[in-house]
Amino acid sequence: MRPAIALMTVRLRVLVVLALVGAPAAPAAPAARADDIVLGMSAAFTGPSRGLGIELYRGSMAYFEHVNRTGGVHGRSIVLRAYDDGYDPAPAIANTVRLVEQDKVFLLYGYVGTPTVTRVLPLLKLYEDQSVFLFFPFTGAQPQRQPPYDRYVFNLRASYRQETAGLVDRFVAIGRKRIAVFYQIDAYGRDGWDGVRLELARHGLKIVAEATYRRGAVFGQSFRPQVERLQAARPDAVLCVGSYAACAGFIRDARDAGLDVPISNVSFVGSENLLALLQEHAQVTGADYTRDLINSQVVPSYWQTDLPAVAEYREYMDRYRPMPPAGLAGSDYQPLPHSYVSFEGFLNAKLLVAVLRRVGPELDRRHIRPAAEAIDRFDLGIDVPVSFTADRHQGLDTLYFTTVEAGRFTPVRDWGRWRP
Amino acid sequence: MRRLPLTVKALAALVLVFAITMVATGVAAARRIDENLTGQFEARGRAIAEGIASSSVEVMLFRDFSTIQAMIDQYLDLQGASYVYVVDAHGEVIAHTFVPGVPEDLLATRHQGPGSATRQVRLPDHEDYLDVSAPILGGRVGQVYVGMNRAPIRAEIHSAIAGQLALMALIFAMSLLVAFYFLNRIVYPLDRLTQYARTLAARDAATADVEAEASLAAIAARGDEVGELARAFRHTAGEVARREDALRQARDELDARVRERTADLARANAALARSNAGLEQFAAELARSNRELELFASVASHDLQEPLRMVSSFVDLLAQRYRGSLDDKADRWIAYMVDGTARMKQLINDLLEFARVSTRAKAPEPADFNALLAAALGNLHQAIHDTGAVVTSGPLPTVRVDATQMTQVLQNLIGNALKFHGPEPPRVHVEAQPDAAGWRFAVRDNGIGLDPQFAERVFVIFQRLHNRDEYPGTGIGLALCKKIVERHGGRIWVESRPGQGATFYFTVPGNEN
Repeated sequence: MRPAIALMTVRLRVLVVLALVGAPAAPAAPAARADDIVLGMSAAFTGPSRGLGIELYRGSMAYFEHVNRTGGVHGRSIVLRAYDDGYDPAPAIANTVRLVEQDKVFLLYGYVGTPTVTRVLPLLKLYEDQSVFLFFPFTGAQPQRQPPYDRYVFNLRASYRQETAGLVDRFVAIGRKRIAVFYQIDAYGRDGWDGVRLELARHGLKIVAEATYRRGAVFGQSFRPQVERLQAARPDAVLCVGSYAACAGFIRDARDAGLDVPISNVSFVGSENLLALLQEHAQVTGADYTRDLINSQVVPSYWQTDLPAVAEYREYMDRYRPMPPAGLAGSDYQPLPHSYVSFEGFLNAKLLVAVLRRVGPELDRRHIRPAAEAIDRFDLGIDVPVSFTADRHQGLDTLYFTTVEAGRFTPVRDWGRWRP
Repeated sequence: MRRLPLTVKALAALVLVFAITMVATGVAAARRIDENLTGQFEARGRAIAEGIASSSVEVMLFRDFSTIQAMIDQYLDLQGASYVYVVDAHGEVIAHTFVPGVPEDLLATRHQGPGSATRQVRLPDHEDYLDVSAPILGGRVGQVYVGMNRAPIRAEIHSAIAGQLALMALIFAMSLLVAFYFLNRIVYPLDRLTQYARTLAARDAATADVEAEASLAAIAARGDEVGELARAFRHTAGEVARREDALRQARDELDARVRERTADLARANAALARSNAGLEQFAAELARSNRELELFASVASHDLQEPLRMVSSFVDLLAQRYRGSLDDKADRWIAYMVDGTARMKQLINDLLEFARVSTRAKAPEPADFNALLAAALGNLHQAIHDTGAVVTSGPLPTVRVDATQMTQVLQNLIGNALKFHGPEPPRVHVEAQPDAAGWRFAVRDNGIGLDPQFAERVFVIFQRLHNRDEYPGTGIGLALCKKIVERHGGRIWVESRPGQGATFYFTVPGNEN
């Protein structure tokens, strides 16, 4: 009886989301002409992680808009059809089925989140004979980077494992060896947890404490139990693998409880969203919650304006002022002028357009894979060449560590300041 | 409220029975549901654990814990498990679903054998769980643990019991109503019967409680056992009342009769006592009187007569032989002596006669006073002839008397009238009048009469109103009459004026005609 109810709830949730996305989907995706290149996107446009989906979409659209206005790809316009999954696996699956079977999109693009993407992977296996590929999902999880699903996915960003390994290495290097982990209890959190664990093991260390939270947690809820659990182990540093809402809540409660060791987050948090929540809360309490935060990024800082891509990004963002997908996101969302997420979306779009140009004028999915794997030392404009091969579907391995200075995340210049 | 105890007892018994039934069925249902659902939950938990275990072998070998996590999340979402955790061959938890972390106790006590096992655990959230484990690749790769929260079982038990209790309560309420109704149908009439029986016991046999009768009649009209009881009761009550009345009547009659008899007896006793005393006294007096009389008679007849006769004989002899031999004076004195002895003889004879009234009396017999009068007149024939008297009489009755003595009375009274006549020849009338006790006789004459002041004295023996020379006699006659009349229970008196005649009355009891 319990499972039946649980199952029903899930089904209901699917139906509700379908119903939600059903009607407003049309204006969200401008009527595609037969010769348009239609891309399918399922991401969080609602809920506590909506900032990720929205900013990723906006960054992508800045570039697509530019391409479409400058002749398109082989004369074809790029249409990005977006559906909301609220960062939940079940709607993500449903959206994918709909995008592939009804909308018959050319390829899948810009998915957000590990739990969603990892559950969609088997569908790609299912659609193998239709050559359905997923490009540049906003997740650093391992499953789509290793067999058996790595062949259906092309990643731009470095993996969480790389991010966590990089953070662990830096902390250990400055003598912070008691590492605790705060993570989302799902495939994403587990992936980050595993990264930390493996890297610590390489140094002969272990995680000193771990605490979990459930996906969907909001900033308003209490993270005291998690803080107490970690604080009891007297960690030197805490590594967070979660959403920006949960991590911001955790940071708030940790600082309030006197846990003032460095706290780091991985790229998935969307640093600007995280910072916005903490700064907002700081205005209420008067305390400073932004000290000793270290976020790893998988794209360069958009303040690094000497990079051609950053200049391009800023120009297109300012020029086209891309909006959140109409009808999907709530009107109360205040779009960020610039962010690591939208910059990542911009870079994703730029690389995808390069791939599409290589696919050729004929829209044949069977050409996608060879085209993508033909990307070799491509210059995105971030001073790091990007390559794909048949064995390697991850374009970048670079990490960028950032910390809050003058109210914004800027590159870390000196790790020594966190030496205990 | 006399009917409360029985009703309350019955209803209390009902409550008790229902309480026991409720508890028993509740416990039984709870146990059944618990066993059932625990079995189901365990089976489901095992299915989940074994499902995860069997599908996670390769992923485990690749140490892709993210996928394991996705897998157990999926089971958690879809299958109703409360928690899942996976432990690798080294005993490290490599995936779990706990927030904020895996409870230490759970890990410390986990089942580590090669097979699948189930145990019940309590987590820090104070909930009970069925902890079902399944080994991955025979436990060589790891172990899957699935926790099934028992709360739904408890909730199901609670809701089932609540439903059952509600149903039972409904049935109970209905039973209570029905029981109360029928109890009332029995107890109320019983109460009425009891009250009726009380009034029946208390009331006067004559006064019936109309209201109680009416209500009893209403109950008796019922067709059920209670009606039957009321009818039988009424019949019995009627019968009892009837018998009681009869008994009371008989008793009253008996009482009256006894009282009457007792009074009679008392009266009779009193009278008897009185008469006994009188009789005794009378007998004593009689005996004394008799003795005196006898003595007197003996003195009179023998002791007095003998010397008198001697004196008389020698006085007579003296008078005959010495008349003229002595002087005249002696002759007169001798004559006085002869006269004296003669009177003495007469007095003694009279006295004897007076005494004989008692001693020689005969038993009374019906006697015709006409005959008695005739006998008396016969005896007075000479005197009547001498005086030229006329004696008349009215109708005379027949009365039970001593005829000889009564004749004596008439003779003496008439003789008196003849003796004391005036210048005219005597006229005597005898008559009788019935009176209250019997008869009143009157003997009326036209004689000299007498002063009423002497009316009593004339009846005293030897008392005389006149000189012996004027009217001869000893003065015994009326005393004799008085004695005879009084002996017959009557009375004798005289009404007279000097020179105007006299009327002698006497009464004789008896009512012979």
